[in-house]
Amino acid sequence: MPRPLPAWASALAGAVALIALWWVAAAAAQASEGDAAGIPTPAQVLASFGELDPSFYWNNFSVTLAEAAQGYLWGNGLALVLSALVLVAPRLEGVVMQLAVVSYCIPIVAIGPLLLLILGIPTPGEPSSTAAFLAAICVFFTTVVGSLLGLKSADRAALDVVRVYGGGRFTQLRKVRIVSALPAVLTALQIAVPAAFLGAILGEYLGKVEVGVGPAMVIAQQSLNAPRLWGLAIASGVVALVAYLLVGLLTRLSAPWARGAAA
Amino acid sequence: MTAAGAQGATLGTGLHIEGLSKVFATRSGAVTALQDADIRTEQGSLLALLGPSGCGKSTILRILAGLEEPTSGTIRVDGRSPEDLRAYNELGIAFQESALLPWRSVHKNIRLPFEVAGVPVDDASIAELIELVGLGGFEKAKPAQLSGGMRQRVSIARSLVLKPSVLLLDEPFGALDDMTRQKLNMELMRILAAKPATTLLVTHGITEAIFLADQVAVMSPRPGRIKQIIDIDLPRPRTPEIQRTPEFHAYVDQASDLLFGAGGAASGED
Repeated sequence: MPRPLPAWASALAGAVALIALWWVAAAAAQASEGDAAGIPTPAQVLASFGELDPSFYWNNFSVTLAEAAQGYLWGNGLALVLSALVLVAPRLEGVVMQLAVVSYCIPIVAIGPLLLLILGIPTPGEPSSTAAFLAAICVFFTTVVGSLLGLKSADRAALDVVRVYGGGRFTQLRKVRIVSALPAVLTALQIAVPAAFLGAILGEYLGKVEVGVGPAMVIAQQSLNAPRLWGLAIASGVVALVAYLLVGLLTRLSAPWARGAAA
Repeated sequence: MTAAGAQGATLGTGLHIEGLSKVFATRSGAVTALQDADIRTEQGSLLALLGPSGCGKSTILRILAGLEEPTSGTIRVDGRSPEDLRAYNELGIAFQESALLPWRSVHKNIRLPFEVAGVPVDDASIAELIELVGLGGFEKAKPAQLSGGMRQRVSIARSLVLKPSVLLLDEPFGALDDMTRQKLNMELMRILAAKPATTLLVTHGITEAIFLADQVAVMSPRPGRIKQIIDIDLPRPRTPEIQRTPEFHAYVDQASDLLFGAGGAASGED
């Protein structure tokens, strides 16, 4: 059998294939529909990055990132506190899970306008509370589920050992559960990164925001500027990916014994 | 303490279990895990609970450890109740799975009982135990860096660190390969000679039980009960050679008959 390709080589091959496919699709679409086609070639998208001042991207992305970060902190903070509460008072589990499921099931499109009425329209250039709130909702469910799973994944025998030496629920939480939950919690926090970013962009769509990635996309779409729209989408993906990888790096540094297990 | 002392006088020393039963309530009705178990042993002796899975041997151990409540019956160890033993940190326990905390080093895992019990940490005794179980030089290693046998050594050291008068071992070498297991049984004998404690060993290994124990309680399942307690009258210190003597084989045959013989408990099980 031939030796398998190294991971970086297959990743590179995948990326090249994807871009090639994109190029072919773009060429085909433009051949039949001309410039009005929705699919620009990679070269056109790259050119659209150069057309604009870098401050355009910075201005829009900094606002969206601020909203995502706010929502990320609030949503995850609340999720973690509630999960820890469940461990100390197990009766609360039903209520907390219900809350999490409801937050996951309510269509974002339905809450957005509602939030807008409650929270109001932000001054242009300021982070929108609606977007931050939606980002928080987007991360809440996965973090509650992830951290509850993690807190429950503690080794039963290790918990028994603590009990035999006179430790109660709180000692079990402190000595065993919290640390064994770390890999699962950190994985949940990592998954929450792109979710918060997506939530913030959706919030901007719904929240009558003037500056941000959401409105920038709306404007590009309305002016039929396909290359810029694609550029914004790709930039969003890259930003979310970089943040995701950064949190992943943090995960591996803070729970080194769980290498691989958390993935 | 006078009350405990008086009880100690009337109930004797060692492990003293009378009419112990445990019924678990399940969805499909009540399941009797253990029925009317009676056990008496001498202080400092080792009793092995031998039987197939589901015979309630672990249930006895867990009740002793205070991890389960008995449905009925009484337990005294050296004249004291399990709660009392627990309150004074007289219990040591080790399980089949080492139950080590993967983020703690060997030294810190053995230190855990001090932290949980709120007792001042005695680093000298931790170091001594690490030497005793043959892990000198591995103080800073994490469990993931150790073999299964070494992890069980850590687990045994942890069970001994508070100098317990009662040691509970729940199939401590049950998950290890046969060669490691025999080696660790020898080591366990040596360790227990250095740190005597009234010991309860749960096992499904016939030779292991006879080799290590002063008494072997042979159990049968559904409902779990003690069929017979065999006194093992073999000289100590015991060496592996003892396993080749006719006396040893006679004990093995006796236990096997009880387990697999006519009306045997474990027919069809390993």
